[in-house]
Amino acid sequence: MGEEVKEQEVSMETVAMILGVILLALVPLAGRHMTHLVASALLLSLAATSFNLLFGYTGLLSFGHALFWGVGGYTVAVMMARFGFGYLESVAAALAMSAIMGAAIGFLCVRHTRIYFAILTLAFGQMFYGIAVKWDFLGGSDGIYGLPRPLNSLELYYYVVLASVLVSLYILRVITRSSLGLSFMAVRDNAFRAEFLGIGVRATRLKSFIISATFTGLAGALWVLLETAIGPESMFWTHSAEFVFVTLLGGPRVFLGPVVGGFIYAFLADVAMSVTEFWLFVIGAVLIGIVLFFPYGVLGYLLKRLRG
Amino acid sequence: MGEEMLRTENVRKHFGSVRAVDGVSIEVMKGEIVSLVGPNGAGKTTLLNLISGLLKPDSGKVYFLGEDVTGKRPSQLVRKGMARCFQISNVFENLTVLENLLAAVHSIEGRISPVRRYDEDDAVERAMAVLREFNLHERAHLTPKELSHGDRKLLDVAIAYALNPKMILLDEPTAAMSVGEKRTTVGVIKKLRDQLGVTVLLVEHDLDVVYEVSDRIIVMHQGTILAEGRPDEVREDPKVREVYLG
Amino acid sequence: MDMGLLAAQVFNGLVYSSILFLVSSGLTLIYGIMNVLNLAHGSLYMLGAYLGITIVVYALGGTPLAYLVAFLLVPPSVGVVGALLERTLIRRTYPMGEEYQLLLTFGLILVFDDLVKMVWGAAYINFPDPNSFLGGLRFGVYTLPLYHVILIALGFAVFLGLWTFFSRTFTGKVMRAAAMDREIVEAMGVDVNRVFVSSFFLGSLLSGLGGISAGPLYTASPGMGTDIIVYSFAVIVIGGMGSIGGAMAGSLIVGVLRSLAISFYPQLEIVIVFVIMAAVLLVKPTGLFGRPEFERR
Repeated sequence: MGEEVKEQEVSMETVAMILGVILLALVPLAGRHMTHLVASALLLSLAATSFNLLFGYTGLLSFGHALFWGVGGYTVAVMMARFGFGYLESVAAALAMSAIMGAAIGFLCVRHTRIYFAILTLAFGQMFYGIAVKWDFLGGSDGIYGLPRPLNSLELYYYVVLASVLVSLYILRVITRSSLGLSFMAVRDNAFRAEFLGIGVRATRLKSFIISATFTGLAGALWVLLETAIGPESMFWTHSAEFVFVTLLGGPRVFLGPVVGGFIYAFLADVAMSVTEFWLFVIGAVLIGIVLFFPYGVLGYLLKRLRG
Repeated sequence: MGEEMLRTENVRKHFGSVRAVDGVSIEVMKGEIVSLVGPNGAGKTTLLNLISGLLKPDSGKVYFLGEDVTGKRPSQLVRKGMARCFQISNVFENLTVLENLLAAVHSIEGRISPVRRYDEDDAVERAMAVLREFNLHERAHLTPKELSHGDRKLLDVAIAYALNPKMILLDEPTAAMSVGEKRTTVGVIKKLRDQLGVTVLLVEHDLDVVYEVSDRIIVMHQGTILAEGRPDEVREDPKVREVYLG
Repeated sequence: MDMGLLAAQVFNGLVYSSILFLVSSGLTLIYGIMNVLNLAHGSLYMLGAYLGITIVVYALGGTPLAYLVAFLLVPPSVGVVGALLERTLIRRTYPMGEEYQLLLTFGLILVFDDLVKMVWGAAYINFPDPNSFLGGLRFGVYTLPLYHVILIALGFAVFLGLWTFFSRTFTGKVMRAAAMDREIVEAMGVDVNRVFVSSFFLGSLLSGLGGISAGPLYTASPGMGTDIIVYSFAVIVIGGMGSIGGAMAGSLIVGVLRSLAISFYPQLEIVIVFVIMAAVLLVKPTGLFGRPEFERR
């Protein structure tokens, strides 16, 4: 009996997934604005899901994750604008660069937890923001712009984004269901006891940090190609806070929570922007409401209601 | 006399002016159940922390299976076969009972990998087998919050046992338990040794439990060993009575 | 190196240190007593500057008297805003994790930024230069702008005041005790909620004072809050979170170094502060003057 119910649930989830993917595949029919909007939402969702591997699954709140978005983005921009590489090589380089930076910065940051970890990641984020603002090679405060859009078509590039995000989400899903993912959660729940299970706590946190940084970097890299430009504000701490917001909006304890949050955020911002120039006011008010009334996020709340 | 499992050699740990453990040498043989008793503040838990790698001794040595393991980290000692439970049950609160066990199984068997599902069949089988030994298999899909106090402590022991230990350190396993739960725990301690072949070092306040399960009892007082011997010897020792009554 | 320029930059750095100290002493005070990191603390600084503009420019026409009135009215008003935020919103996050505190106060930043744009517009607004009526102070061969000198003095005066308050007065001691052990203080018959509101009032007041002081130096703009808050973080991390003396030391280091970097190594202006901040966190996470108990949690 119990098994049957479970199977039904799974198949409903599968149906929802397939419908979702079909819907996403049809987006370019809805015009350029919608295509651009959904592509941004997908990339924000990927970044937030990567962030949440570290936050929701490993228990470390990074307040500097926009750094890796920026590392991915600037690597692509520099490779293309300064060295004339194509976008595929540039994205590959961005992945490598994000992983390397993730390893180096993660190595230093995982010595701390809780508020100290949050502030240390914030410091690193601001440090690289400061570098990007002042370094002419990276375009200073103007950033790097006028990059060619891959395939010369927003619609075709949309499918590149869609495919990359779906594959990345799939990989992240596999990781969260793996024994490595379980060790992340064990460290999150009780690092002290995890050590007595033979789990190296710092090494485990570092692994999570590197994976998280790499996929956040990929999102940033693909985003630069969507916008054909990048500026230092993409690494400013308020952008890091956006990832945190999106994740809590959707729900940090559900794998797809940050994706739901990413889409709600992107569409909410789009609508608010078309109605008022003070759209950040709306976002801020929503954020306060979420914290006070739906601390488990929208998807977390819905699933709780569904399961009673 | 059997083979040696654990030996400490004159270990010492001071916190400022407090001599928590002041030169203690103990020995535990393979297959023994040894209890550490003593009034509050005698240094029992500190000694356990020194043995399990949570604290580094100021001086002295700890040998496990003949190897000098002084100053090794808990995660290294676990891999050598020394597992530990805690006074206040110390488990993974947001994971199910089964997942608690799976975390131990994957870690100790070196299966941690990003592409290996944590609920793959043989790992689940291993975990469920352990849960059955501790009569927790029917609660496999609950979270620790949903367990009774006694079952939470059992889960703590089950996690330690899932690590394939040669020896388990138990810190006050019956603290705050009902009489019925204490009976179960006594059974579990005996079972660990008699059926599962694990050596047990136990810190315990309830002397009835101690007298019932122990092969040997070590009495600590103010950071040193006051007396040591079989339960009947210790029970009659006037020094021990004085410490406990006076 | 040009010694005149060096001296001028140290002087400018001290002025900036003073502003930083006003803001970060409030931030560190609230953290030290309540364990709350209020990201919107920078928004209160911004609010101080804009309220100052309203009084000085729009209401009283830039007279010396206008400045005096603004300095008397603005800080307590901002303090009241901070206390109200604590009572109505921030208090409700205490049972939740600290990430919820950070998020709620981040939401407040967005709201405040846009509120300021709605009321005062998005353009930068300049104060009339107070030095035009205050004049300068002759100091050897240099003439120092008096307003700047007053700000440096103000920073040190507030430091001495806070230090005396927390180490010499009963109320100050109770507030510090509330940080250590809430239950014991409650058992003494002290209303801890009042302590919390008071510390938010005082902390926010200091931020507002920082804002009105900084306005005439650096103009008022809607992004000024998000900028100062990260520098204040750097200050209290370097000095040691929860320590007033640490906030002073951190402010001096950050303010002077940043000012020197602007003149001599402009590329390093932003980076240097955060390099020091990260280095302190890595080497001595309790900061230069931090009390070790804050690392315990």
